[in-house]
Amino acid sequence: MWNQYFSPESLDEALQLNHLYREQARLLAGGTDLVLNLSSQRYAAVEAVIDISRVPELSKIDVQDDSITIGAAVTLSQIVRSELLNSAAPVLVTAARQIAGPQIRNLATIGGNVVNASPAADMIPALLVLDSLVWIRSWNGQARQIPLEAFLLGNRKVDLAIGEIVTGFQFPAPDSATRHHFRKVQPRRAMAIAMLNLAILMTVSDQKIMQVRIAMGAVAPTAVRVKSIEKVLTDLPFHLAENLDLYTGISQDILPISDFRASREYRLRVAQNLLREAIVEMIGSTKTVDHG
Amino acid sequence: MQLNFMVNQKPVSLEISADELLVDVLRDRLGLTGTKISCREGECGACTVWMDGLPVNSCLIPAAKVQGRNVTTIEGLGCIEMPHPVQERLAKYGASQCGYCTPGFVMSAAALLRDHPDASHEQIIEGLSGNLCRCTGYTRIVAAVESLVDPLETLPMPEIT
Repeated sequence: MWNQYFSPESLDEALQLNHLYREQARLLAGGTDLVLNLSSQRYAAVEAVIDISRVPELSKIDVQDDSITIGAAVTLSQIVRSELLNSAAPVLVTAARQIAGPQIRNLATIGGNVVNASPAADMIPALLVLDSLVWIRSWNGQARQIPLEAFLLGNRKVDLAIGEIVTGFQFPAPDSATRHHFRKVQPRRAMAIAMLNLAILMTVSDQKIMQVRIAMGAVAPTAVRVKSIEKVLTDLPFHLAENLDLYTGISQDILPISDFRASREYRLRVAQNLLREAIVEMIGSTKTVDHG
Repeated sequence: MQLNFMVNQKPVSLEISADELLVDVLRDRLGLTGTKISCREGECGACTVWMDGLPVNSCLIPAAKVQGRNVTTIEGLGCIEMPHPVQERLAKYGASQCGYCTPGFVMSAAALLRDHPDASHEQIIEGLSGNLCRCTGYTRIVAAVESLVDPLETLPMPEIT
């Protein structure tokens, strides 16, 4: 599996180790996927595992000037418990709460969920509707930040070079009147991979949808923003939102596959119906959070 | 590599290979076989222990990750002479059949009641959702845990970390 295990206590030390071992290193935060993939030999053995969970700056949730930053090694449990995120970004909290069970959430991290880049990752649609940036550092001190949408290159592929570390995610705190929705279609309420997941942020005014951001997962090689429907819904009076025809354009943005979890046709139909149901629910409710 | 950590409030120091998993160190090196192995992939919760007080799957944790940390296993919660309240209640409610999943359930339930002494039915279901039982079913397990929330039936929780 691996020959050496490092637990750096600073980001600089982690970056140096990552640079030193390059493709012979794997970064471990919670390890809930990585340990399985290494021990089952789905991933080739490596020389070094670098455990970044003790790096203080990667484990913090911060707010500054209405901008929220979540460190890559923040656990899903930390997100669920965070007062700041419960009030400012409930879409993210609802997504985190529906991942696996308590034991996994105590280990698994937001950075791991994103960098793993499973098409069904639950944190990704939530971060996409929050318009999140991904912060990346490399060993020579260089930092870059790119939109999450650009970071996701494909099924389990991300824009991250050898030697680089994702340090966190940053997004503008949504206005307190913003409505949040997250829904996961899954065979049971815990310990399941999403057949489809859906995140929505919406602002409304005068019985009209003003702005809306929609993202879906498990319907394409990466989670995607559903921009065709966002366009259709922008400035739409509430009473027109129930029309199913509005949602048929969804096939422009999503490319579901058939596999053992569900067929392509099922996923397309579920995506349309679910999106319509969610939008109708969101405009009908005065609550700012809808737990799917 | 040298691993130093606390197990059930006692310091332990041993030489391990860098890629040993915590569940194997606990069971095979330290003889703490109350922690069970079932799926070995983080699905069933039979290997649940606490790391710094939080329930985790010990089959997914490199032993090296607990360097300097506190680990609590089922042996640290209670024994036949002095069962933990959760153990006492599971026995009273007949909530075990083969018993293999029981230590994991006890670890999850004890942490839940420590953090939420007045946990709701929903919170109990969520708190136990990372543990599988394949024989007796969940009704009695949930009822046993729920009885500890009932003010007429509750027992004092020992302070364990």
